[in-house]
Amino acid sequence: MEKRNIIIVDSVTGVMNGNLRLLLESAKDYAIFTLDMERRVTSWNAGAELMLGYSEQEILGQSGDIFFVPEDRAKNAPEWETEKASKEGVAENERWHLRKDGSRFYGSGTSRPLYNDKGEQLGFVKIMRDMTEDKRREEALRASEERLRITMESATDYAIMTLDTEGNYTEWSKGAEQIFGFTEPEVLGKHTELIFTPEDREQEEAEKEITTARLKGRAEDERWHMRKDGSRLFMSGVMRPIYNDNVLIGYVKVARNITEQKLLEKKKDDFIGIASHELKTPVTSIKAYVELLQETLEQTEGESPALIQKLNNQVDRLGALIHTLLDTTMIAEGQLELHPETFDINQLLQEIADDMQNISKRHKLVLQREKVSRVKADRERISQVITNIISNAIKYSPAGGEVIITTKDDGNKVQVSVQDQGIGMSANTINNIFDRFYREGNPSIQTFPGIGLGLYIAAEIVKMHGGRIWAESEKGEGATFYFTIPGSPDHTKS
Amino acid sequence: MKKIVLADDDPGIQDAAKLILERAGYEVTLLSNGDSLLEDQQHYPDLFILDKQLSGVDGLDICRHLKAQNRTRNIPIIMFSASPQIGKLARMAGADDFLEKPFKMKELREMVNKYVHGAIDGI
Repeated sequence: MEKRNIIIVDSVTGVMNGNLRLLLESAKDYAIFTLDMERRVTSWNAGAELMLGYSEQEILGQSGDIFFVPEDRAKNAPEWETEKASKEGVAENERWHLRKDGSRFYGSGTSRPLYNDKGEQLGFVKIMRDMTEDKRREEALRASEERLRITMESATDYAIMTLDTEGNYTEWSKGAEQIFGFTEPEVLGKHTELIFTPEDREQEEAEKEITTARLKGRAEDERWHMRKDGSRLFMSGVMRPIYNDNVLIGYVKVARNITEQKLLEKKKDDFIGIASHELKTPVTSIKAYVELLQETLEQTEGESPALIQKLNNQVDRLGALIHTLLDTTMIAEGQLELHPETFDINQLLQEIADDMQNISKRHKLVLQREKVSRVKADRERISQVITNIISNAIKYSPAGGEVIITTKDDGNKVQVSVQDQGIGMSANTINNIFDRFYREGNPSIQTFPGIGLGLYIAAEIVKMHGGRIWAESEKGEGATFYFTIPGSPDHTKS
Repeated sequence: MKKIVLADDDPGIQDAAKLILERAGYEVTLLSNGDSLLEDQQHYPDLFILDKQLSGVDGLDICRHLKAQNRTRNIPIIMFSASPQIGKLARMAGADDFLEKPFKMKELREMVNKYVHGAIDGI
């Protein structure tokens, strides 16, 4: 009580005098006004006029209660405030206030009692700051935090986790609890490696994911993870970095359990694998019988030999289709094995071009080769890549023209390109052209036979070799497909 | 006449392959079960053609067995399969060659000629 700040005021008017008054008047960001014991306004600074909308002339002598919203007036808030200030020397509060025009603002204020030099209380001084912006921002932040909390708690199909910059968990959603079996207290502060399989831990996959997220702004991945009980589940997720004022403060990861989908996919791949394998047996005997018949009818007059040849071609087509399906399932299950050898890719291209020139008379296969380009790769699989790309070039240039096959050898890698003068592709198609089962075109305009696996298989084989595959094209302008494979270590020797 | 033993569990393949090889002048004995090949025989053929998938025994095991016996280790073996990856396993099991199904008549005859006569000498 004795320590209270005594503010000296004019003993008759209760209004602050002199320098103090001047100082307070110039503080435009603060509303500063004084009230007498009946809470009538006795002085009014420029900040108060700006904040509350009343000029000094119109407000002097009026009750300060009118700055309170009706709800607060009904609760006697003005009396409580001055009473508290008188009793305790200060009353601080934050509340909504009313302007002259009826609009509201959120003000943070302090009321203190005023005394004259005789120690008699003459009124109060109130200093108030407009906190509406801060209040709105705070409310928006709280609402967004609340939304995030609700999302994290209700998205039980998704695991939502946040990590600090070191990769340790800082939040762990209800969904994550359900999916992984760990409770939030069990994981907080632990490294994200916790849910990785031992194989992935060995490969430091968790660190790689964080690095990708930091460098590229996002890291997508699909992999097997481990639950608390050691069982495994397949998750698909995205990690993104979180920045605050351009400073990295951590990461957020959202992931979905797609184990069931993955197992279904495996079942489907297994089924296609078994079915294709079983189809091969009758196709083998049909082909053998057709060729025996062809041999028998070789010298026959009439159309029989030609018909048998056509039959044989169709059987081959069926055989190739089954082969493609089997390759696809093997790729999907990671069973495709490479048997690398060192060979001259130009020689292989020559063999393939000679062979494929027979398919179409309308196309001219042109080879532009560098002298010697030796590669270390699976010759049969690379042959399949080239065949698939050239078949595609022929298929999508129905009007014919040149198909130019070029090799380039920069010492470390060999680049093969196949350029056609066909119908070309849209940018959207280029982005999807190497996807499984992707097929160009609108079937209602023009159809092309095929099941959309040739380029997918080509891309997977190139990737397995550590190479790159891509396409460049514009609609109607033809297309060029490129792929690279590492050169042979001894490729410089000719 | 050169003799070939062909073991395959599919009657269609047995029949068609037999026709192809008989027309090329071979005597073909068919087996759908490989068990008998694990026992000693009175007479051995000039060539074995084995499918990987046989009723009872795995064709690869038969291949290994035949290549381990003194009396049969010098008889060439061609293995058949619808799976291209079996090629590598077949060679590891000692097979002289591998033919993926479906095959061309010409391929089968050329391969058989090569191992029976030691050279490709036209058909």
